Amino acid sequence: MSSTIVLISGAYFVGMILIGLWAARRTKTSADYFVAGKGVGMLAIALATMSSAMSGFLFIGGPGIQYKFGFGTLLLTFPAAVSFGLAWFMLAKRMKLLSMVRPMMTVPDAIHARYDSNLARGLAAVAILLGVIGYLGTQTLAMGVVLGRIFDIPLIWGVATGVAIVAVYSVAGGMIAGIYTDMAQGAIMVVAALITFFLALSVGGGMGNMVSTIGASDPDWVSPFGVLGPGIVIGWYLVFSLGILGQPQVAHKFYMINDISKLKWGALVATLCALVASLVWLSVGTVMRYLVADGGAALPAADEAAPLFMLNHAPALLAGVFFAGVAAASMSTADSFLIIGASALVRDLPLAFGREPSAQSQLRWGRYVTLLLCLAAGAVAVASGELVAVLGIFGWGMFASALAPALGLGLNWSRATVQGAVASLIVGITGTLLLELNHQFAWFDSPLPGYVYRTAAVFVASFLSFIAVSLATRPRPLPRDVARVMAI
Amino acid sequence: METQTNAAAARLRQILVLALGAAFLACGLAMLAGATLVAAWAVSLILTLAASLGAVRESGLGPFKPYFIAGLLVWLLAFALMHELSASTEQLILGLPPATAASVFILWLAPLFLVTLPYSLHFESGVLSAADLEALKGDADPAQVDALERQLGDGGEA
Repeated sequence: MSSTIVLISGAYFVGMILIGLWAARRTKTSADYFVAGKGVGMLAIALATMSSAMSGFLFIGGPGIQYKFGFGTLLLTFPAAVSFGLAWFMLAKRMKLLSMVRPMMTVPDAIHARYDSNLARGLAAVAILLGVIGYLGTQTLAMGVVLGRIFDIPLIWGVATGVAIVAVYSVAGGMIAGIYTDMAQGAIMVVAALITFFLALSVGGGMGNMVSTIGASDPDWVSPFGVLGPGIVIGWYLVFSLGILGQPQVAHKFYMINDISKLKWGALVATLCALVASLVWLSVGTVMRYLVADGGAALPAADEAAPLFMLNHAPALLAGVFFAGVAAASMSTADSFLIIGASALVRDLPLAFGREPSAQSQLRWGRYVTLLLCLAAGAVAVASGELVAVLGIFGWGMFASALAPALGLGLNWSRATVQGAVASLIVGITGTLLLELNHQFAWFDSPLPGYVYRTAAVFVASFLSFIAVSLATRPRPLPRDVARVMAI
Repeated sequence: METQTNAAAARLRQILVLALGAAFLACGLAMLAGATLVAAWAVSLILTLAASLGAVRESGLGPFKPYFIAGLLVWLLAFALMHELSASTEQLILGLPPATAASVFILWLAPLFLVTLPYSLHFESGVLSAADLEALKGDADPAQVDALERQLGDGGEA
């Protein structure tokens, strides 16, 4: 690895640690730690939401599965054009208004406010913990891959280094550090993606040349549904667009904005940045496939598509920015999930069992648990051996199937009942877990045809159970403040 | 009067959720049957209904109605083109096979203009007004009221 890349990346990591230390001095309460004191501006919220939603999945997993399965995989990233709009339409105003009439810190807090049910709150916390494990695994694995490349060290040391850096700024600075590092990282992601896109087109001789060359040997790859076919990728489009309503790393950021009127431009800024960042997925996966189709050697692993492209074809300065961007993307998502996972363990689960820990106790234990989650995430990443994207898809799918109906529909439909919410949470959690574990361990023949995306089936079943059970049960009167929030 | 308008909004939300349920059912059945174009169209309907549900206010869908109708039509068209156009590389549109070009240039970009951008353009008239915040003040947790006051005091046109 050239010294330029090492220098740029090293400077970046030092910068992130400095932000963490600065944030640590501002973190005095559990509200500071978990929701950044609810004092964050529009640009920071938009960039942080975008970067934590897109993550290392976009920079490493995306080009990797594009390289492997073709243009159909773009339907994992194209939902960004609508998903942020949906999140703002369905969640932003109501989540922020809830935080103005009640003390809210987490997504299970919103579930509890809406349904007045500790069971629903507890199930939401369990879903979050399960999804966090998958997501943290994918982020730390992405960090490990990239840091291994930058510093020419084995994967396990790459994972350890990344975990250590994130641990420093997350444990010390909590969500304040998370938001401002996310913002810096989001900006880096956009710049790195834009430059990389034009470089990839140049290396491949233009999109037309790449597509013609690939299409000559693999016509399915260049079709809009790619090698996997329309059944799978249309399921992705559904889950990755509407599924944003269940993503806690997106939803709880609405609590943090310092002025509700600043929601106005947030969706647009987040979407534009996400669309630009998506260009990496489109271009790098394609150019690496083109290079193989043009006579080059196949990649040792699909996830190597982006790192190898940058090492072999980009100027050192750009490669440095790109690697910093990838590490940025992974770290920004990892820190959000660490705080979300910690809050589920030290706040939501005790509250679900009727115990309210003191604010100081939440802050203290929040830091310990964040550290423990860092270590667990490193272990999952090293042990998984999966494509980065696969763990990310599991995490997104768990949040989407379990939380999107109860949160997204529930906050917009006063007829929804606690029984409906509990039913959809149970269907989402057990369905995702069972089908994904069965896919890994083949306990039984899958009840679904091979052309159906498993998580999409669970997602649909979860929404249907939410609506059907709500209609079949009697709604409770809403508390006056919640009813008012939902009427606006 | 306020109760009547709230009841109308609640009725519209109920209708949208019932339609959403029907669209999810159609989507699930089409997925299982391998009828991918029907599934894709059902997804288009689901996304439009979801955005509409989030946009409902006392005045219905207000300024968002034409955008959402156009959005639905564009989604239906994009998925139809992706299924029906050629995916071969003999003829390319901006470097992509026609079917793939429909995916990249319509499915990727159009929702930005038909769902996300209108949220910003019509925020004050269609999402949240100063009157909404004023009405909420009476329900606010006393500990949170000062924050609300500050926002209203800062211009608060929201």
